[in-house]
Amino acid sequence: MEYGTINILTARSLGLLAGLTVWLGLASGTALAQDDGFDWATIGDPGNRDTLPDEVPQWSELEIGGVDYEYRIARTELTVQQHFEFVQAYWEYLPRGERTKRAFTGQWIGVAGSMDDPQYYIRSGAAKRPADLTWRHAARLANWLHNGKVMEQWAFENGAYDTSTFGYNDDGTFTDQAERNPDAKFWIPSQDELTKALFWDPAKNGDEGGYWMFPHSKDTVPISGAPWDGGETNAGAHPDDFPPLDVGSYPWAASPWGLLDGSGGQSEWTEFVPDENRSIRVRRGTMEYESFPDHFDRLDQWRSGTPYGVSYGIRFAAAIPSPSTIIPVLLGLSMFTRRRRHR
Amino acid sequence: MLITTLQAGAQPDVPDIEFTPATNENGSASGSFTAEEIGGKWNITITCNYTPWGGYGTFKVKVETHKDEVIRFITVDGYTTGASTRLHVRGTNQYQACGPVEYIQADMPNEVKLVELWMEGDLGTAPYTGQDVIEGFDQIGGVDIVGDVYGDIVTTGVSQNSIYVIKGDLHGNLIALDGYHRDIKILSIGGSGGNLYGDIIAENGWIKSLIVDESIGSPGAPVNIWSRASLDYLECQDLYANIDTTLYGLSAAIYELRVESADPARGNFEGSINCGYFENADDPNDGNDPARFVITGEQRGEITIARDQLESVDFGTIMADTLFSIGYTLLSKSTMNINGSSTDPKGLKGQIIINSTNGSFSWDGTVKVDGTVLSPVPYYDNKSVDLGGGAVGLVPFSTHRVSCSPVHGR
Repeated sequence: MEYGTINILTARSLGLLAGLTVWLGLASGTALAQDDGFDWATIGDPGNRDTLPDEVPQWSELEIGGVDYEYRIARTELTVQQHFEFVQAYWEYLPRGERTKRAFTGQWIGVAGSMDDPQYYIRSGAAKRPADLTWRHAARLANWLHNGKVMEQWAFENGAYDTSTFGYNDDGTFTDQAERNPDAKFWIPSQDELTKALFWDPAKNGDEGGYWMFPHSKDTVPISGAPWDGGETNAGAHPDDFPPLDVGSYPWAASPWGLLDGSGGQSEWTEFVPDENRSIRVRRGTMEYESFPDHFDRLDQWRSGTPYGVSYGIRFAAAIPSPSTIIPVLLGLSMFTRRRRHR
Repeated sequence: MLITTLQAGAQPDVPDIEFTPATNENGSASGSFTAEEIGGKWNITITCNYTPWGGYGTFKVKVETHKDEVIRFITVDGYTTGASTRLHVRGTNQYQACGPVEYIQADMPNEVKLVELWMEGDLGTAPYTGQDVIEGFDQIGGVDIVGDVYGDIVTTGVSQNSIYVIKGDLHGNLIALDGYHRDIKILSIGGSGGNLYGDIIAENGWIKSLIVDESIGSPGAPVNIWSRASLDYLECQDLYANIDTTLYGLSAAIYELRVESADPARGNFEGSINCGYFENADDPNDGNDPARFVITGEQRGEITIARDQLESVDFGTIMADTLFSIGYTLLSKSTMNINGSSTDPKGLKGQIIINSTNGSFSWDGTVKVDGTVLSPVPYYDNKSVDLGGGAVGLVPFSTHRVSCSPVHGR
């Protein structure tokens, strides 16, 4: 091949090489190119320890964050656009009275029409804002992703979470499946998984590893303010200061693994159901304009949410793609390389 | 028995109260408390004595009790020189709420905020008597109550932007003397609760979101929903209320109002709605997201837009017992879409009056009923029977040439 000649085959090989480079960067947490419509970060360093008491001074008994396997987690919270796909696909399976409620649409999806013929739309400018949805709808969305977004009701009702378990006991506790199915491809992150992705830094403390107090790789409170004013979060700000922002508006305020909006945006669901209180799922973090980020965004502060009726944000976790999907790429690259040498 | 302690001791049911920081610069205690159990209920008095090191600071008071314990009151007094005091009330385990509380009050010269209240059981005691159950706080951060509320919650600060989740009924008023209500959710659990029986008031701010699973008010007993600035979103199954965004010196907007139910006997409105105008401020160019006014059931009352109607708004049905007034002009860029219901699209059954102030205002915008534009304006040819039986009139009125008896000219 002549130097300086760029042909289609060369361009394809360059693309394959670029993809391989990105894949090799996963182990250190470099973000993948988007797949499944999500921008994933791979969380490595399996076997990291839980928090130590002096890392969680406001709740010294807390021991969280240790995860002994690799997994992926979305760099940003679910967007309104992503939520909108689900709303449009699932509404017909909902009881009529729930189709136009905010518990289904969240605050950024509007509804024209009626309960029998709802016409959903994304509110002006809101497509990239963080979505808010109930835990149960987030679980259905995880199921749908697991099942490849098949447009049939079964695809929403199992996969990651069996929705036939969703119900209540007389004492107010719920009967919902506590944890994801073992073979779930997409799921709502556990408390440990979310903690590790937002707070654990393998390079902290001279490479011993440690937890930051706040989710932007610092032990100091994120600065409330607009991105163009040097802010690090829209929590703690006032709605009169600046309008609602898209996800990822503070790229300089990332977790050690590249996750954004750990403060502000939306408060985020986890999968965790405490044994001592089976009427809640645990959530963390502030939402936009919410007060007291210096308290609620801390590593040692976790809050509650019932799985129905109240809507918060979500960033999904996902399995690492299996090696079988990588081998064809490597074989293809290898074959191409041999052809080049023979020219 | 009177107990004074800074730590929960061998008795696990004693309230755990913690001050952060625990001491002042001179080593003196930053606060103290008494916790007295009388008749199975705890009376907790917290006295703050905090002077921040080197300037303005934050003083945190955390009250944790087991959810089986009942608190009669928590009172926070004393002073914090140049500092803001924050109160946290929750369970002894970070995943648990505290038990029932009768009232929480602050009586301090400095700023004091209730950052979080997470409780199981009722706040206050039945029946509602008008007593404050939370008072004296400049700001409330988040309130999560698994139970009913019997009393008023009043805040005073400019920075007030509370988030309330009440899984039960609210028998009482939420009043922000300054600041705004961010999100109010009154939810039912297992078919129980989810009703609002008190007023929601933001005297110097707005109400961003009010979501009630069941009913707001009750027949013959409407509640007041008042704000100085806009009411952004209201959702319930029945609405018995007097809503007003014109009371406090502004004529503010209502963005979206949804009174809907799958139960055909519900979706009812009774009361009054007064606003500056209907507008969706998130869609200032009036794109695909107009203001919305959806009432699927019976309507009895008056709906008054005090000023110009600026933007487009979608309606369901304007019922026969509804009088809808626009004080000034229906502006040219405004379209009132009266869409009716899926079973009865001719949704103009009541009366719409434009220039109800009898000034020199005009009908410049568009009124559509079931997609049909009323024209020409103001003396349109569309027959009342084709619209649903109602009419739109520009003050001063004129009779419809055809929809009258006898027909004009006979």
